[in-house]
Amino acid sequence: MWMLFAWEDPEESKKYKSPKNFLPPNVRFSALLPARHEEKVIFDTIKAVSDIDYPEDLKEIIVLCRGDDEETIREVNKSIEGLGKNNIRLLIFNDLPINKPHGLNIGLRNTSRQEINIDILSDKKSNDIYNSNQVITIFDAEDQPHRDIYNVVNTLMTSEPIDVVQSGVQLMNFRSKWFSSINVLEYFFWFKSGLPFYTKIGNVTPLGGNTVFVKKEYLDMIGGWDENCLTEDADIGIRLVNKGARVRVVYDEEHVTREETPESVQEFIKQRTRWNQGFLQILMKGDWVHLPQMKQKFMALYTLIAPFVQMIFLLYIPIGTWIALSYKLPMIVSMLSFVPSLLFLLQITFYLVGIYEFTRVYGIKYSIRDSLNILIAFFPYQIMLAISSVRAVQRLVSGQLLWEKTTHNNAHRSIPLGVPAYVEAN
Amino acid sequence: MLKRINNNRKEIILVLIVLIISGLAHGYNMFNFPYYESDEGTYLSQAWSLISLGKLAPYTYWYDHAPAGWIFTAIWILVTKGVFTFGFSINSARVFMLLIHLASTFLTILIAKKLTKHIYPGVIAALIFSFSPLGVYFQRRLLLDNIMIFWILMSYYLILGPARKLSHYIASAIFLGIAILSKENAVFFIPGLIYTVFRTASVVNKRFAIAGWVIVFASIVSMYLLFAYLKSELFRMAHCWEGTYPMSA
Repeated sequence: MWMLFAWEDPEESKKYKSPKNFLPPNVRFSALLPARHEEKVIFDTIKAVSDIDYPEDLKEIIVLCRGDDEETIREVNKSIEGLGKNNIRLLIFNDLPINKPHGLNIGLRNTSRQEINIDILSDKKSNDIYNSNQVITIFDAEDQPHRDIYNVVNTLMTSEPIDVVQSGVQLMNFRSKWFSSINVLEYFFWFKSGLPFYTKIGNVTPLGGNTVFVKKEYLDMIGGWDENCLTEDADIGIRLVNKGARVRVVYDEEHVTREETPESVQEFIKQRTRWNQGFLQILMKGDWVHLPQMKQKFMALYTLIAPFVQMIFLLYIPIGTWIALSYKLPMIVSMLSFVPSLLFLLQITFYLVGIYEFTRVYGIKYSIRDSLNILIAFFPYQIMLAISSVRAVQRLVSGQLLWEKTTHNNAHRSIPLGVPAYVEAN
Repeated sequence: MLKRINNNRKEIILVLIVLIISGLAHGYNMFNFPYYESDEGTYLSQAWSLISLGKLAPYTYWYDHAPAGWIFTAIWILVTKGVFTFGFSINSARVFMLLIHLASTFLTILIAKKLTKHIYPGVIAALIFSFSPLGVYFQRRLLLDNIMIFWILMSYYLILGPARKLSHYIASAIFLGIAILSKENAVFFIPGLIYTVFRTASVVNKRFAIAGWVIVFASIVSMYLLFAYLKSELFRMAHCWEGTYPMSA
């Protein structure tokens, strides 16, 4: 239902593009970069974040590592020395739990607000204004943000009454593994269509884990991230809206943050299990019940249970078809029992078209093999999703709440594209 | 809304006049001319059997046509509280056809206006549509084609014009599906309609519009095949000389 929102109204979809002209820098950005066992990619990532085009005194990077992760720490130090900037810091911590929200909270407490404040502002009122201009953002250890992303967000936050911006995240390496293309398309549909749909129609945005920009005052208000939650990003999305934060979504092919798909089926299932389990945690925490509007509650609930609905549909198809064909049911019941199959058919069709659309907007050469690949991979992919859903329930019931981390290889940085990831300065 | 009506007062009066003329052309003496055709009785009995027997036909349903046409007729009978509301049973069906004709005339005006941006071509088209001797002869009768044409016009109307949304195309496909299930001849409109989809969709949503349009109407039509399959009547189950072969046309 939400899948095609971006294509519903060509005029409406233009609103989710980045602004064409940028306003002068006004917002201050603190980028949090949590990393664990990311020695292969962290060097490039720090450089990419540091290269974002914005005044040096209005941005900072805080890399968050745990003390036992020596390889990553070595790489981070190498990178900081190499870049020679004083607005990049490495924070090492040794306490528990070992997960992303814990690192983020440490980063949040250590953003360099005070020091800069004393220099520029003295009275309390302008301090408040200044405070509300401080924006926290997150990049994951393999992220490739666009150089203009801060200018985009600065312009949006300066010209519109908004407190949170979620910009597009896009997996890119759609030809790496058999499941990559569908995985890439999930992101394509989700960030381009799903988020605008939920924001506009449902007034609630399930935030992503990175390239999300939040005014610090709101993060302070909700007390930072929930360290017990496996999908801390979706969780703060609901809690921020509960505090009255206004969320803006933007997806512009040029400005998306590029990421890579999990490297294997096991990694994929681990990642998806974590998401599903996190959604169930959020469901049980019940913050969504306190959302002010009925439609917000409904949409939040729908998002949280969506993976399980999909699984039930998938399990239903063989069972339902068998029952419809072998038992004498009222004709109308038998016919309705085929509707889920038709919905899957519709979904496959939109994926087939979607891969062409993806290559078109990213200026990559399309091959008919990409569509064939989707056709072949679609049902195995659904089975992977179903396994992840079952695993999530299993782990939740047996009380396993640790993070299963995804490994990163830099595969998304080697794809030649029509839309340049960097615009090299001459 | 009021303001819009006020601004277009001339047009609205014109359209109302055309509809009154069209109604007169098809309503005058409609219970006597043309004579009651046997097909009318067939479709009406099938609509009746749907309500009274819960079956698609009073005798064995033998797939002479897809059933949407008399499903709508059955709804009409339910709404007007019985087949004898207008006297002889077929009269009820003819009143239904008059309404369908008025709706189709109205759609004709709208379509012509959308295509030319003027009201007068619409008026002319509607008058030709209403005064055509073939139209007067056939469109007064309870024929599935009349119901089909109404849905085809709906389907066509939705995909015309600028700034079409994806939902317009999906709705258009649903109406085409209904049209085909009303009378199978609707398939001959597919090439023209799909060309229109191709022409009117914006470069942004063209591919999804075409794919969505095709898959949605095909899914709806496939329900008919599914229905036959579930009744084990899609494929011939035995050879005719074995004696269990369903009656053929």
